[in-house]
Amino acid sequence: MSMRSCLMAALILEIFLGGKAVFAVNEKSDYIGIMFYQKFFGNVHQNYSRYSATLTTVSCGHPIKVYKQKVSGDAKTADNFSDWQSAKVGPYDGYVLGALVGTVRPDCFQDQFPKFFEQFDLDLAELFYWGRLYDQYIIGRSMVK
Amino acid sequence: MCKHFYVLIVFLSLIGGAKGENVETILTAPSETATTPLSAGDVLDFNSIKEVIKSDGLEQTVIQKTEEIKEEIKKNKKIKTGRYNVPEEDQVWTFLTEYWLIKNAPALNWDFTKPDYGLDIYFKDFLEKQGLYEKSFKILLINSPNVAHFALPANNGEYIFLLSAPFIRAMDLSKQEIAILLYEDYVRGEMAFFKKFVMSKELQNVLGTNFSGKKLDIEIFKKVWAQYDKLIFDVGFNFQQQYDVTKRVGETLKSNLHLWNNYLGLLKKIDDLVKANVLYKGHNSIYPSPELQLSWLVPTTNKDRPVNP
Repeated sequence: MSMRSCLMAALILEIFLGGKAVFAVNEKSDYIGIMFYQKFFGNVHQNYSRYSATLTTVSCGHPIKVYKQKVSGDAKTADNFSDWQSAKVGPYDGYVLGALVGTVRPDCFQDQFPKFFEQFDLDLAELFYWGRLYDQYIIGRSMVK
Repeated sequence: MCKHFYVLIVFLSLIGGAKGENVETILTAPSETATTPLSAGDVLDFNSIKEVIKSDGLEQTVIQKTEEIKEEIKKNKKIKTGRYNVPEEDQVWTFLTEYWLIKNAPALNWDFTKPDYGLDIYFKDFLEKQGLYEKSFKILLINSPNVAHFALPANNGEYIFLLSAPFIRAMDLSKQEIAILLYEDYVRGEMAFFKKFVMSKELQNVLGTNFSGKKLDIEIFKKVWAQYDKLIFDVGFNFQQQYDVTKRVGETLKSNLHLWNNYLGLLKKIDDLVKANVLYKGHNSIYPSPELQLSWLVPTTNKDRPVNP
């Protein structure tokens, strides 16, 4: 194989793979914007389920990149699909509960009383468990009709 | 020679022009009016320029700048000291309750896969029907009979309801009965029995203070969590408290006979369960007692009327 044909093959491969990667990102999601985690601690999940694997734990006020969900028809009809936001936190692509994120940075307890919070010396397992607590809560609020 | 002289004159005029001086000035000797530079021994008399400084407003600027710097230092110090603030009473309840829930995760076993009972929507509707608007709540189902049901305080009048899944399964409670049970806990919470029990004088003294330069006594908070344990697992509520709660719930539900009958049915179910199931024997010591509650609610003749506590 000549040098020229080798280069051509490499170029074709590059275009093919590059094109596919871009297509995959577009197919998965469209970027909406930054949202902030609103509660003490929370978990980013692998799938849109409270019981799916936890990718990472975020603390109050942590910025989260939120994407528009574009998934197959089966998923859309799955239980509680609309409760979840497709999210990217650091290197992790996952899902967070929509009720726990907001567009405004909250007035976090940890930021208001940082030294007080430090005194309790929470370890990583406890922070994770705090996130689990918010996974497990059934949250509601009565409203004026 | 003449040519060279003209070139020199042009060159000097260029230099002089740059300095804003005349060629004549450069070519002549230094003038008599030029200021004499100060030597090492001379003293500069600032009084002579005091008036000039005053008229320029420099003194005022110095005072203003000093004030600004002082203000900035004060502000930074306040921010630095503010980091050591202890929350006020109305800001601390969610932290206290959730920390206790995390520490007691093994005993309560709340981290488990559970079915969606649709309680959020049903309880929200129930509260609205009772005229209780803008009330936030969190329900935490637990997979343990250690605690049957409980309303724990949180910030801004919110409650964190603990609800035992085995407890509601054992009695096969309907959504309405569960909502009534939670409502009873809500009324108990509003009567602040729990807050009064766990709140110590030491905690009251430390809340809303600042511990900059001091050590925060963590033992005070540990004692509060010990009080949580004591009330939730051990002593529960007394007869008078239970009587007040039962009467209050009875009064509010009586306007809807269907709900009132369901409340009576719920108490009957709990009474049967605690009498028959050894797992819930301790329920009567936490909530005394379904049998008494029924007697307080149901109108009786004078002959068999129970004695109020």
